[in-house]
Amino acid sequence: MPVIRIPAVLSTRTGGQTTVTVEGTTVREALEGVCRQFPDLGVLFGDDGGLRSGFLLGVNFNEELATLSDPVAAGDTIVVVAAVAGGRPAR
Amino acid sequence: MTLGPATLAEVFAHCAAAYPDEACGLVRASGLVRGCRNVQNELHARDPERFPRQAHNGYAFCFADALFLDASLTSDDPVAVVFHSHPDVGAYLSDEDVRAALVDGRPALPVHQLVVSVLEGVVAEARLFAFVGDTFAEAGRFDSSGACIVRASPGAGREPTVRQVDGAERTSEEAQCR
Repeated sequence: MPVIRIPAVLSTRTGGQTTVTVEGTTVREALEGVCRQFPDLGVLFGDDGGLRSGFLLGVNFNEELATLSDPVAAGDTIVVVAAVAGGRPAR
Repeated sequence: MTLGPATLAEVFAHCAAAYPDEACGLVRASGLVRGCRNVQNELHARDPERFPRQAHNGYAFCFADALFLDASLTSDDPVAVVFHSHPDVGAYLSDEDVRAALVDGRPALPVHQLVVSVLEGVVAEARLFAFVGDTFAEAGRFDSSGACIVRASPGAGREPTVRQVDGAERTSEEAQCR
């Protein structure tokens, strides 16, 4: 089963757990599984069911961003982090 | 934390070097600066609808830098300030900056926001913002030498705190100017 690494800013929503092992063959299935276990993690998803823009996903600490549809296997680590972004005001 | 001239000199150099693009980075509680990689152009190239901004008018930490920040939060030297530059528009916290910093109306990260104004490639000033109550308020202003020229005290009686190396807390007023 894949492991989900919980970002520090959300660890209060998992009772302090920083990793959670869940079932799932895609990133989405795994994240939905952890949300069933810890409903407060529902903040990860937007109203449209997609990943909320305030978060980024990776698998096995690779630099490449992962998507919800990416496959995962037993032993994979899904890494969730808060996005850090912004933009200047219009001229 | 220490946000003094030496720390700000590093921040400003990173911002000036990125011009005309936006720069971004972070400052740890110890004052250590990490210039981060702005991947806004890569995101835009991949999905221009989801990421309409480019590096000249937006910034996004790469995944490794975002992970570094996250990991620091449980270390003895947590990130205390996220900075980015605004080329040629002034040191304001834009609507997009605020939108991106909040989740459900609360800061996604326990950090202050430093915005650096870069005009024609030269740093003009920087302004520090702290989340107080339900909004961001100016907590300090610095000139191009890194000297503190305005020491604000947002939300009198409820100053925001910055986590310290020893786990103690200080008000933003203590944290912002040295």
